Amino acid sequence: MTATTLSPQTIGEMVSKLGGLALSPSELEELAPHLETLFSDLQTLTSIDLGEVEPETLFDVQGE
Amino acid sequence: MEASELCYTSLRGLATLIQRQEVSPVEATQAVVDRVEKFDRQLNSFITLQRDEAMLQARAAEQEICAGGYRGPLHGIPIAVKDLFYTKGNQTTAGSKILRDFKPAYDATVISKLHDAGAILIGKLNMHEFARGATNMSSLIGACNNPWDTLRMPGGSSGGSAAAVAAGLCFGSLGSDTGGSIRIPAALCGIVGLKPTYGRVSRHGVFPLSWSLDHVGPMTRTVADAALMLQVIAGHDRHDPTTRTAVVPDYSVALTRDIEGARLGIPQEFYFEQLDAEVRDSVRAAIQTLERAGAQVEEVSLPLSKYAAAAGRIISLAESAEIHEQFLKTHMADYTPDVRAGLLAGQLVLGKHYLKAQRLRSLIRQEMAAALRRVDVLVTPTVPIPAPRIGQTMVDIGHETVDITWALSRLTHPANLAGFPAISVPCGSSLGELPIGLQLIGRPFAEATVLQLAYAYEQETTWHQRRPMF
Repeated sequence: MTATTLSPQTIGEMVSKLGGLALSPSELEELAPHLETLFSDLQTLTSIDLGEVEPETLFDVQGE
Repeated sequence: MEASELCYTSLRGLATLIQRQEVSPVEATQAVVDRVEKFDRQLNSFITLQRDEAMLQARAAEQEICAGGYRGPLHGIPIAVKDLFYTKGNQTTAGSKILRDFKPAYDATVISKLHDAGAILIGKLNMHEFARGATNMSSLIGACNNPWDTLRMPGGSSGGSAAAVAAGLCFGSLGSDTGGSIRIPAALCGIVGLKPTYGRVSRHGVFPLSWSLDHVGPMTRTVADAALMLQVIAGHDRHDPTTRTAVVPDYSVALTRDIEGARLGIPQEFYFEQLDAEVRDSVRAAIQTLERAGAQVEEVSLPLSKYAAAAGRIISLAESAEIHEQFLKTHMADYTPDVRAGLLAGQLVLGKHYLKAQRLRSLIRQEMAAALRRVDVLVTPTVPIPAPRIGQTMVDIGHETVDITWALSRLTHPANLAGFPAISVPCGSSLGELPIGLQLIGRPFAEATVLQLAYAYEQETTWHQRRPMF
């Protein structure tokens, strides 16, 4: 988590996407740093060339 | 033997005493239960103490053993488990007010296995709410405290398990680990924590945080104790389709094998960056100790590990958002603030984000598997810093100020993404007497190798013999 720089308006717009969840002002405030982390993580993922690799499934973990 | 000495005996040591009938399960259970009542007000590690039920179990174990029915090393051993393991008819809160009245109709598979082995369950332990956090500051009964300094956090999410084991309030525990939740508190409290391979131990009857990342494993004071507990809980479970039928080896036999020529992989990227200086020095010294014991050191390259925390958080957010969708609609106000906010953020993760994280996970796993074809284990610090103060939210490491939760979990995520086994063992102490952990990561289903090297290290040092103030 990082210290938030998101404005209340931006947070409100994001939260409007949350579908059916009405959040109080204090809940919006709590959410801000988590959104910062989420968007930072999404930016990290976007910055990586994943090539043609397919999504992971752990059901095929093999032993030695 | 004095009660405090008895309570700090290793699980394996107590098993020997019980088998020889030199200590009875009743005596051992009475000693730890008394100790919980005496000291846990300072630690807040127990959510539920099942004194009467434990004493009944202890008397039954004593009678069975006296009648020649000794079942094995866990028979008559008092243990306690993180409060997200289902225990039939007993409160199972997952650290949340939302589940304060939840009494499961069945035992988790691992609980059944422990009962079958004759272990005595004395209680359920504090944890970060729904296992969604690395500090153990958010729980329905409040923060758990670190036994080495009660003004510091024990780490999480299995913080109660680590604190109780470290303080001699039980002889072993179970935790769960989604991004480091066994290994982080083990490192911060100076105990052993083992996250087995994904599929090695059943998660049936364990309240989920993130299905594809959740693991269950032992938390103990010694490596040999972890081997004994893993022996009991490992194996296929028809109730958990992710468990494998791979043979469960004799982990205790593996401990005594010579490590001469064992190959240690030291990552050249990421794991030794942004470390507290005392952690770096302790881990480097531990590597030298293993070298002196006969292991060989090789450099390995794991450049993608730096992305593991981001991928792990996205996957965990998406999966936990689905798990908690209904509770968020019906019990929004009952979550602790930080857990509620994290779960709400998870509602914003799109399918494409989740799949991108799973694709990155494939690459991280492939990279780790390639490194582990050259070496037997990877050796890293478990946590970059010693236990932070309660209430602390930021920490300075490597000339940067970073968030505490980010710092605590950054080195443990990769093994969860890969699904590979990883252990934390005590390897040092800060100037403030706070424990430091060494992490060994092995090949899938090679828990025996991980335990063998951890045990060899433990035998060369005395860190596991240190005790907190209690």
